[in-house]
Amino acid sequence: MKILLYISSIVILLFTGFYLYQENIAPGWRSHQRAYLDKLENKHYLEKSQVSYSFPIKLRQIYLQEMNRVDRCVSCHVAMEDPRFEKETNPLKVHPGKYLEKHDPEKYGCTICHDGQGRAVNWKDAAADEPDVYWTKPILRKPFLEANCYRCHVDLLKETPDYNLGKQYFETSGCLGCHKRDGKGGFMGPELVGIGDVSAHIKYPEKSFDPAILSQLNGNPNLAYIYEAVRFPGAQPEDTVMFDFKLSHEDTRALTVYLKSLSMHQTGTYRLPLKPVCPLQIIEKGKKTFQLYCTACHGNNGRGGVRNPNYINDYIPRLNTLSEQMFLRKKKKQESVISILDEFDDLLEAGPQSDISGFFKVVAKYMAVKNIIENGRVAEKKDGHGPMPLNMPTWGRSLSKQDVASVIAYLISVY
Amino acid sequence: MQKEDLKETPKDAIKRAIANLLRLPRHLKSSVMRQGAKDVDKLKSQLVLSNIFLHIHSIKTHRFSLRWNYTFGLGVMCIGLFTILALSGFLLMIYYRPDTAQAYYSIKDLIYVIPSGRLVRNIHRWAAHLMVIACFLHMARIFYTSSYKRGREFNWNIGLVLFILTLGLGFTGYLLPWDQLAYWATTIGVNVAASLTELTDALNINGLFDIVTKLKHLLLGADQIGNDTLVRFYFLHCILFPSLMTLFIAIHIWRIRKNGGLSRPDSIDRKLLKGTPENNKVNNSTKPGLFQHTDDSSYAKGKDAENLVHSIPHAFLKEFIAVIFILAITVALSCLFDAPLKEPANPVFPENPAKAPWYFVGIQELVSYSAFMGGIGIPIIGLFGLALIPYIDRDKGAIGIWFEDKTGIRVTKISACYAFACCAAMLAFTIVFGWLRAWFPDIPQLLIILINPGTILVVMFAAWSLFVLQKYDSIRMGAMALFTCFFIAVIILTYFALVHRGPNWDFYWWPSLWPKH
Repeated sequence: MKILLYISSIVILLFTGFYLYQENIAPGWRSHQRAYLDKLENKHYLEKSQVSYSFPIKLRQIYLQEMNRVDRCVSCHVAMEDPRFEKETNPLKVHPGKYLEKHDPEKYGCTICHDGQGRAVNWKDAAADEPDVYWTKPILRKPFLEANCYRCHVDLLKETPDYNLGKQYFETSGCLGCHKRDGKGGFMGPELVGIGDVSAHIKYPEKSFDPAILSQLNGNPNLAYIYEAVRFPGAQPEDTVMFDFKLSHEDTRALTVYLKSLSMHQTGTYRLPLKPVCPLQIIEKGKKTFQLYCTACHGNNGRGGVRNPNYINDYIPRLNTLSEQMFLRKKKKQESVISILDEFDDLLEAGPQSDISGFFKVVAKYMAVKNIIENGRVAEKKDGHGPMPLNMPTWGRSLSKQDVASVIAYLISVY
Repeated sequence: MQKEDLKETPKDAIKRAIANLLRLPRHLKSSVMRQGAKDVDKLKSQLVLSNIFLHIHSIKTHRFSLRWNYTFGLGVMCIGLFTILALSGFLLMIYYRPDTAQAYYSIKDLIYVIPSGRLVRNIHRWAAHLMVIACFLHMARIFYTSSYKRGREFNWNIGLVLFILTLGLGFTGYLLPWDQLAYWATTIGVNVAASLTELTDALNINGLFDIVTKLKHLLLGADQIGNDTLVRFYFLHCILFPSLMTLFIAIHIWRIRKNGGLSRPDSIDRKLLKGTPENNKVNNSTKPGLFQHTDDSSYAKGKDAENLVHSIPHAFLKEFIAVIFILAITVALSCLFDAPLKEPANPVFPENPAKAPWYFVGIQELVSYSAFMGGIGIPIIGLFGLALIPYIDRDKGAIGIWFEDKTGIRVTKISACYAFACCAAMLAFTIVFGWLRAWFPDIPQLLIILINPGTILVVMFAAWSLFVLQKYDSIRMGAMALFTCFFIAVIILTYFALVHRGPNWDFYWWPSLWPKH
């Protein structure tokens, strides 16, 4: 039996010896730092005698206590702030662009912009972007990197074209008719607050993606999750009620960048204040609100044309004929109603208006419209045993009195 | 001895110093051990006697209990694994921070930058898994060799306590990394423990005395798993359970010692002793222990002295080999397979399927039939059954022999086949046809608690055991049939739940067949 003892001992010694060597002596960051030193020496930036003590080989990290972040990226990317290393290859390359001038790495670290695992000290784990491994934050590349600018920045930046496009698309397509953002919006779809932090891990039940999608998103499964949900709503889950908007790849990509920025991740005092904006005219405000909440179902400018499965009229009502229904065919009459709405946020509170003919008919119709917006309406089924059609949601809680008035004013104006 | 040294010692001081340097290992050993290096029985005896750790053993060990194929060193492996776990646990404790915001990241740091942290963590994980297996097999070994008889009845129950403590340590340790795996496995475990509500709900007595919520609060410190739970589990895992474990291991071993060492048969076939050390100094050491150094011959009577061999080196070497062997397995597994660490725990997104730690998935399978019966009823019936075995089976059979005799082997084989057939048939039936709730939607829950695949298996096993008991007119055989059924059922249920249960606890032949969308 002693042979077992010898074999076991040899196994223990060999395995631990090899493992300890690999873990403690062989790691890549040591060789990267050594290569950096060699280059400094070869290019005569440093005298040979200076080399050893001017740049000791050690584990380097940026510790941001406030955000519980430890970025050890600088253990390998040692030349990040060294402009002499412009033409080298990664990891011994200077940071491209002039971003570091305003974003001091000592203050902001790396992962706040780039994501990835700051704590890891090998490239595979730091990038954390293998499609089969579901880290929370795989490293972001262009253009998805833009999303992280808005962790701190609030106003639009000219350096982020994809984000800007995505945001514009989002805010003019009525996404909030079904989804919530910042606590406001519909209830049909999932909340979008924190969608940027979403991990493909929650994709149920199979966590795999079409390789074609993954390759367009730098192999980042978390982005693929958002992308797939936007462009192919039926893919996950099958019984979704989300419309297929037939988006192009470019639009979906821009939307993905925007949605990626909707993160709950706290940046604390790093967050910049919003620049003040001048208040909008009532019609513009109404248009904006309509585009945020209503466009998806009622169509662009209220033109309708969206199918509602199993609804008695087949199509979701168009709204650009509201003026006609409210007996406001004349331009002048429309303008005076809009100005009353602007002043009082309500026709009824304004009291009787002698200059508008048939005022009480107008008010009655106005009250009906306002009631539908605020309290919603159940859509009648075409086939009594069929599935539930989409209903008009209640907006009384999400939208303020002014918002509702502005939407009605806008709809009157589009006639 | 000193005279010898003097004779060899050169007169030149430098040469003397060099000679002493060369003899350093020998002198060091003798000074540590307080004994000379000479191979003298008396010194061996004194060595064992005067050292608190060595004296866990008696000076001499019976050769019947030194056979490899008798114990397989499983008990020693359990203690070896516990030691490995304690030592690696100390190292992990230095870096681990029991706080929901930091726990996960302290593990990440352990993996990435703390020297050899990854290895230590892997060793801790693998040793824990191996310890559960080793305990389970050790229990089976004790049972099949009837080693719970003749004064060892209570020690069997202490062994059961140790087994439960092992599971408790595993379970509390599972939560500490605070990743998705940890969080949801613990949630499942806690829900299993809270399944008493199914009974109190069915009896409608929740309003009177809500014991489940109280117990849950006691364990979790809150309504849900959170920071309080983490601190509690940390305390249980690092302080309470290990201390209890140490205490009970001490009692366990002390009682073995007081019972005269490991159990062994009264007589044994010469052929079976092949490979065990012989007592080749029968003439001068027919007396047990230290008595060999006295002139009184009366002590030797009835002590089977000719079969006693010195614990040094025979017993110690074997134990050392067992420990080193299990350490080699642990280290090899740790170097080859990293302990898993998923994403940080997220109470909003459950894992699907969320499975308990593997040693509880068998119970989870039973819970999927009836929460109360699977989570509380059947485990308690099982534990009581195990605890009562030595008090029910008091037949004066042979001890220390695997399966007792040919009948025992036959009973064990047939019982294993029977248990396998029962479990497989029951699982297949449940998957294909569903259960009562699927046929009669309005059936009262109490009926399902009473009649479900789990309870039916228990009844089948009990009936089989009674049948065997009557047929062979032997309680031992009945117990053997029951234990075999239990043993096989645990293995099958664990395997089945681990491999064949997918999302929503549905049946799949293989995890790769889990539905796409």
